[in-house]
Amino acid sequence: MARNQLSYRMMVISLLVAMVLTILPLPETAEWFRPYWVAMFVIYWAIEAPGLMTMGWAFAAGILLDFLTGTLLGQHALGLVIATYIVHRFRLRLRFFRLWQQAIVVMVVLLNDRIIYTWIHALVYGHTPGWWILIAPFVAMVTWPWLILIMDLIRRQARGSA
Amino acid sequence: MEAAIDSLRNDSGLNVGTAAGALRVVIYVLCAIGLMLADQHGGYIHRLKSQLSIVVYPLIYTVELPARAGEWLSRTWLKHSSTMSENRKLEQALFESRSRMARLESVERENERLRALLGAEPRMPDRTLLADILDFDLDPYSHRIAISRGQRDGLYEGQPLMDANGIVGQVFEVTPILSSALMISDPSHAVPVTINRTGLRGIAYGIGRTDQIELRDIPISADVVAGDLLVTSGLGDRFPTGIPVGSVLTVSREDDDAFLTITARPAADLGRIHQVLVIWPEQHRQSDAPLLTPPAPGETEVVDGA
Repeated sequence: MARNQLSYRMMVISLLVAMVLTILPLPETAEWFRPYWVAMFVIYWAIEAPGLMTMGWAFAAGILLDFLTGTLLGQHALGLVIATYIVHRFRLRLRFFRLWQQAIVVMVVLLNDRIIYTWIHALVYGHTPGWWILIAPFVAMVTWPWLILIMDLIRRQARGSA
Repeated sequence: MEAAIDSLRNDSGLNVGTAAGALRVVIYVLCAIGLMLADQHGGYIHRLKSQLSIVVYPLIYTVELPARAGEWLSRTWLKHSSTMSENRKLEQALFESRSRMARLESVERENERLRALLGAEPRMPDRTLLADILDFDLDPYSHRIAISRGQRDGLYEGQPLMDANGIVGQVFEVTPILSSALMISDPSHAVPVTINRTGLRGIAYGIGRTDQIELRDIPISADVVAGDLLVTSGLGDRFPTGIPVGSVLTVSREDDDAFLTITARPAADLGRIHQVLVIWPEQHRQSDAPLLTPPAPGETEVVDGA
């Protein structure tokens, strides 16, 4: 139970860090390359601890992100819930994938999320965003192994000291 | 929300392959869609949102912190505190007077034109307030900014913003401490403008680029050349009259189009501003007969979206 609580705390902290990374001001062009941090951490926890990262949590994180970025309330929530569902569904296979295979799956999940985003955007604003919204998932794919590495390191240390 | 809390407890994540898992995802998706619909059609969700955004203020503050610390450090290193505060006051005064200057040029021309007709009454200066920009492009596909003023400073939705050189945009959503604003470069934004040299009216639409805006409904016979200054026309009662909007870059005609397409560079440096001036335009319509001004399409869009 203690370990569970520790993971809970780490999950919440990592999500908050992801949100800070999301709203960190960047130059306009760099904005296109910003990976969808919150989704990456949601996917990470959905793979590592599906009992913690439930669809409810993904939904809550999405709502908070909607407040934070001023998007339509529920827009991020919808994407994150669907991403979580997909990851849960294929979790058992995903866990035994190599890192690079996992990274590709993450990219596909994030691309799927961009497609949902485009639909919502087209319905609400009447025009589709440009092709460059597909850049971020590729950046996320490249970043994924590093995220795993760093998170594993932090968790091992936390466990050691606890 | 109850469903969310409920599943925080029960959902082990291992039953996703089952019907229960599928049902749960459908419920959440419907919840999200419901929220989006409620949000888009305004109403109470909107008010709730502006109240709840205080919750996220600590996060925004954390993000700002390094920038604030850096600014503070450089200021303390710069000079003693007394000169520092003086410096800050002067900076602000300079910024404000520069923005007034930018308006003067067009106001002068407007005056000349009007004097020839009737003799224009002198305009009162508008009330202004300086605001820091906290964040750009919250959603990179719509050009929005977050500014450090809100309800407590008396901001209202639709309030115009400008920088030292020209119009920046308008306030879009007001929360107690912060506000978000739409820049004129946002694809859903439109400003009613006139061409300063000729007085021709048009509407400048954002196209999602900070360095370009577009006028689409200008008759082909119109006298427009590159370099012409666009200023706000004051129609639609949202922006005050005569603030620079941009200068014409290109004038082109697409094939069989009955209208010219004009691109212009925004006068305000939308990609680089750090501060904006919030304006309270003077209501000076008392002597005029009520004019019939059709609302600018962009503006109605904005109001609907709010």
